Amino acid sequence: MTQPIIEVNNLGIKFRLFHLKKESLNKKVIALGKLIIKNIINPGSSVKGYEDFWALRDVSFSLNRGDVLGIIGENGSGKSTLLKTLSGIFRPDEGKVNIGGRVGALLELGAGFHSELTGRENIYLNGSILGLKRYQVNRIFDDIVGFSELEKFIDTPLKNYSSGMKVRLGFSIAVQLDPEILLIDEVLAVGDLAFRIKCIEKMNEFKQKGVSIIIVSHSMGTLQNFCSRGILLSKGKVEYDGDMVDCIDKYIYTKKGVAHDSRESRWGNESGTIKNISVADPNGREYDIIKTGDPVVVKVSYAITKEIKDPVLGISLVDEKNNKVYGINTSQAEGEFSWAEKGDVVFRFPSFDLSEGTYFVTVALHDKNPTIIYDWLDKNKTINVLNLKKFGGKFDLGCEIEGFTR
Amino acid sequence: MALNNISTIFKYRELIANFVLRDLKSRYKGSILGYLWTLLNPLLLMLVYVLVFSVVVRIKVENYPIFILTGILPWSFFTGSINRAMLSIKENANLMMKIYFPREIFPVSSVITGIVDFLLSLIVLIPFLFIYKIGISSKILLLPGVMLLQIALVLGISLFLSCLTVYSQDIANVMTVIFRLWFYLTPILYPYTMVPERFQFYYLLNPMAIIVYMYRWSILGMAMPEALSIYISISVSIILLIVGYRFFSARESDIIKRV
Repeated sequence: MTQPIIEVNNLGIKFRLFHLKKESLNKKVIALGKLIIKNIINPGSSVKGYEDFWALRDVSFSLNRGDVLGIIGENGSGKSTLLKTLSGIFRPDEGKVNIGGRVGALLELGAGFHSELTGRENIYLNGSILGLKRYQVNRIFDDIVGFSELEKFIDTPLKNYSSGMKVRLGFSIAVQLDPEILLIDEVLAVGDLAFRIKCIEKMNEFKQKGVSIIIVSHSMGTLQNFCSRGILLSKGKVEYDGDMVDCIDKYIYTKKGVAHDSRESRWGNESGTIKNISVADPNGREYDIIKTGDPVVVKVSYAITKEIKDPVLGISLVDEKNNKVYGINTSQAEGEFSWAEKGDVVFRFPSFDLSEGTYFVTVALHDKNPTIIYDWLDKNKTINVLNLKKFGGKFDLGCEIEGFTR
Repeated sequence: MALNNISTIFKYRELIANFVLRDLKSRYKGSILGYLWTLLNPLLLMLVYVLVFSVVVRIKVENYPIFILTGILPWSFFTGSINRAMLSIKENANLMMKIYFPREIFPVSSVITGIVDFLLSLIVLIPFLFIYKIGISSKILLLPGVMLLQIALVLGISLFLSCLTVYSQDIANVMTVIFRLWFYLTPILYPYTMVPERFQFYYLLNPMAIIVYMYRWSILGMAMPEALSIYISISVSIILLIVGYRFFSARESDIIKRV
C-alpha cells in the first residue's frame, strides 16, 4: 500500500463542561464584556468558568485505501466524536487529521430533509447540502430514485413518508455520491430486511471497489462480517487496534460486567470454554442475512480440560418473543462424538426452514448432568432470516398442494 | 485567508440559494396575501407614523410619506436580517451536527433573504415617486453602492451576533431594546437637522443615520450630511464587517460544541 487515505496523529477533541452555578448578573455581564473585548483583541481566547473534558485524546491511526475498519467502545467512549471529526464537523483541538479523499458520511440518514418539500425537492436540497451542483444531482437523480424504490412517492411531500421511507431515501442519496471514504454510524440497522440486504450488497460493492469504510456500531455481528480491522476506544483513547475478531474479544471478555445486547450473559465454571461461534454458508462465508431455505453451518469452537468426562455441547434457537424454536446437542445425535482438547463442533442445517424474523443462538457446554455447566453463552449470536418463499407461519414444512395444472 | 473563505462560500452558493428559497417559501406559506405583505407592511407602518407625526406631533417635512418610507425600508432590512441571522445558528444546530459545511452559510443566507425582501419591498416606492413628481436623477446609479455599504454593516453585525447568541440566550432580548433605541436615534421619522447642532456630530456617528440619508440622497435627491461624517460611517461599517467576521471565524469550531 502506498499513501494512507486517512491519517490521524495524536488527535484530541476537547469539550467544555460549564458549571451552571448561580452567579450574580453583574458577574455575568462583566465576564461577557471581557469575552467580547478579549476576542476582538485576540480571537480565540476565552474567559475561564468551565472545566475541560477530552472526548478524544492521543488518538492515532491510519487507514489505507480499501481498508474496512470497525470502531467499538462503550457509550461515551468517543466513537461518534471521532467520526464527526473525520467528516469535518469537529476540528482537532490537538494533533492532526489528514484526509486524502472524498468523504461520504452516513452519520444520520436524511439530515437536512425538509418535511414540507417533496421527495424530489429534498433530493436536490440534500445534494446541495452535500456540496453538489444541480447538474451533478441531475446525473444521479434516476439512480437515487431507483435504488430507493420510491418512484411512486417522489412527488409527495416528505411529511407523508413513513420513517422507513425517509431512511431509504437518505441511504440512496448517500450511496450514489460515489465516495472514496465512507463513514457509517449505526445506520445499517434500519429499514426493513429486504432493504438491509440491498444496503449490505451495496456496501460489499464499495468494499470491492476499494472504498475505505469506517463503521461505528454496537452490532458485533455486522462488524465481524464486514471489517478486517477493529479499533477499541475507551474513554477517548485507543485501547486496541488490530484484528476485528480479537478486538471484539478484547471488548467483551476483558470488560467483565459490561452488558452488551447480543452477549449479555455468560456463565459456567470455566473448566471448558466456548471460543468462537460462526454462522456461515457451506463455503465458510459468514451470513449477514439468511434467506429461508438456505443451507447453514453453525461452527462452535471449544476448549476443554482433561478432567471433563462427559461433555455435551448444544445449541438452541430462540425467537424474539423468547420462544425456543429449535435445539440440539451432541448427546442427542447417534454414536459417540470424538472430543479433543481443542476443536470444533459443526452443526449442519441442509435447509434452514424458519420463516422471517430475528433469532438468537444460545450455545452451551455442559456435563451429561446438565446442572454442571462449563460455559453457557446465552443468546450470543443473532440470526436474521428473510423469507422470500410464499407460505404462512413460522416454519416451512414443504407442503405441496395437489390439483394444479402446471 | 479571507479570500479563501469567500471562495468557499461561493462554492456553496447553491446551498445558500436553497436555504434562502426555503426561508422565503416557508414565510409566505399559509398567508393569502403572500408576497403582498412585503409591500403592505412598510406601507401600513408608514401610514401609522404619518398619522402620529404629521397630524399629532406636526413635524414639517416635505413629502413626508416618502421620506418615512425611504427610512423604514432600509431599517426593516437592517433589523429583519440581523434578527433572522441571530437565531440562524441555533435553529440549524441539528443540521450542523450531521454534515460539515462552512458555518457562515447560515448568517449569510439570512442576510441574503433580507436583501431579497428589501429589493422586493423597494417597489412600494414607485407609486409615491409619481404622486410627488420626484424625478429620478443620475444619483440613482449609486444606489447599489449604498446597498453594498449597508450589506457590509448588516453582515458584520449579523456574524458577530449570530455567534454571540450561541453563548448567551440574553442577546436576543437585549437586542430588542437596543434596536428600539437605535430606531429613534436614526433619522427615520425626522430629519437629522432637527437634532440640536452641538449633538449633530455625535449623532451622525451612527452609520445607519448616514446610510438612511444616502438612500434619500440617491432616490429623492436630498442633501447629504457633511463629508467627514460620511467617511466615518463608511469606515465604521467596514470595520464592523471585519471585526464581525474575525469574531465568527475565531469561534467557528467552538460554536458547534456549544449549540
